[in-house]
Amino acid sequence: MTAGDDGGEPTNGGLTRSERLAGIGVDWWATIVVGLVVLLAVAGLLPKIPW
Amino acid sequence: MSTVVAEQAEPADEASFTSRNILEYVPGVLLLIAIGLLGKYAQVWWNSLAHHQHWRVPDIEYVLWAIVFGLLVTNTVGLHRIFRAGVQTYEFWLKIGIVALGVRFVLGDVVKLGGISLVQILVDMALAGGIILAAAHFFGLSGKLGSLLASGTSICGVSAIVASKGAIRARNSDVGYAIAAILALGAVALFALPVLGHAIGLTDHEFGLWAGLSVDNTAETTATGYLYSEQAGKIAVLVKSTRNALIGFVVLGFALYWASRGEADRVAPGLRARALFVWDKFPKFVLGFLAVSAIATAGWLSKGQTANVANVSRRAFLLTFAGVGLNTNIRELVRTGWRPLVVAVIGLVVVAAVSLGLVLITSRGLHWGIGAG
Repeated sequence: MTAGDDGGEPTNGGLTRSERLAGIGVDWWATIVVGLVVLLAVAGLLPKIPW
Repeated sequence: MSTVVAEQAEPADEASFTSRNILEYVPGVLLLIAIGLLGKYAQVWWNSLAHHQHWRVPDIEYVLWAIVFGLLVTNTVGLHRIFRAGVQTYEFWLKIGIVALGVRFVLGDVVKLGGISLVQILVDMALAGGIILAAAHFFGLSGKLGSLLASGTSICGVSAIVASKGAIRARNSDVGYAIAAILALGAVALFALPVLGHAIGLTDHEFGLWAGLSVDNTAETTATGYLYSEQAGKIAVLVKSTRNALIGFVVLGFALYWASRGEADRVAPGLRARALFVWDKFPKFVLGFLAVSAIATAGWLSKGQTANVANVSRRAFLLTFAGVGLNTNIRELVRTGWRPLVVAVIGLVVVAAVSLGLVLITSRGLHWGIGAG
């Protein structure tokens, strides 16, 4: 029995949480991180980030 | 016979996260931050010293400093293995930078420039891909190595090669050759294109288009664009993301070709299966970029918050540029051998020449473009 594609639910419940998180992929992680940053910015809560 | 679609997806960016232990990333990420900041302050120090001493020397951007410092570390003292996991995350920071950069684009401009560059990319791909395949045949490289070099040169460098690897059942040695050749060319393009761009007198917009069309690896494309100017960097990232979005179609084409010759797993028949194949290879960060651009276009962000998100992008790119230098091992590239490099050099020259011609025809002849600001 194997895990589903893209780190989905395993058929034997064998995937740990870290394995599931790793299965998300770097593209989605980048999108999630920036999504949170943008949410904070929309809410006006993002602190000043200097350059 | 198994099918490619049924296999577990082989992410193009799997090398970004090499460990499950988060602490293993800390030393390398700290090194990226240190080299990035060193690069940024070196720019300030250099420019202020030149100004103070009345030297007539060009400003050297933080991009170049960060890459050079990274190169120096890797090619002199070497990169200790304690830093490797963290340094490999530079692709993650690149994608954070690209997604956050969406805040600087109006969605209409993204669609317009994406459409213009799509035409250029298709012409580029057809011409350059054909010439690279012919050159690979001429130099006696294996057909699959030729396919890997063609997909890497015409689409998106290492990601395209890694994505093609499983689909066409390429040998590991061919994959290693192709990746080394593409990385070597990325390093050459990084330093050569900005100099050529200034010599030819390209505008920021034209150079951004050129870099986006002709530099193979996304990190090097971004660095090449930003080496010219920030505006050129923005355009280069957008054009390169459009190129990246086509990766699934190109890999599918090669997979179908090699499967028809019985030298790769059969691709599952049917439109749905092939659409799934393309989606599997699609770089999902492009969707994040579009979503952030849509939010900015909708006016949900104040001017100050827009600047903050844009600075997140700049800081993430700073880590990327440090990672580009730290990941370029010149000795390993030299060990690759000359044949794949010659084919890849032909690829770079062809792609650069064809795309420069396309950029000049479309921007100066046909006056296509956007009022990029």
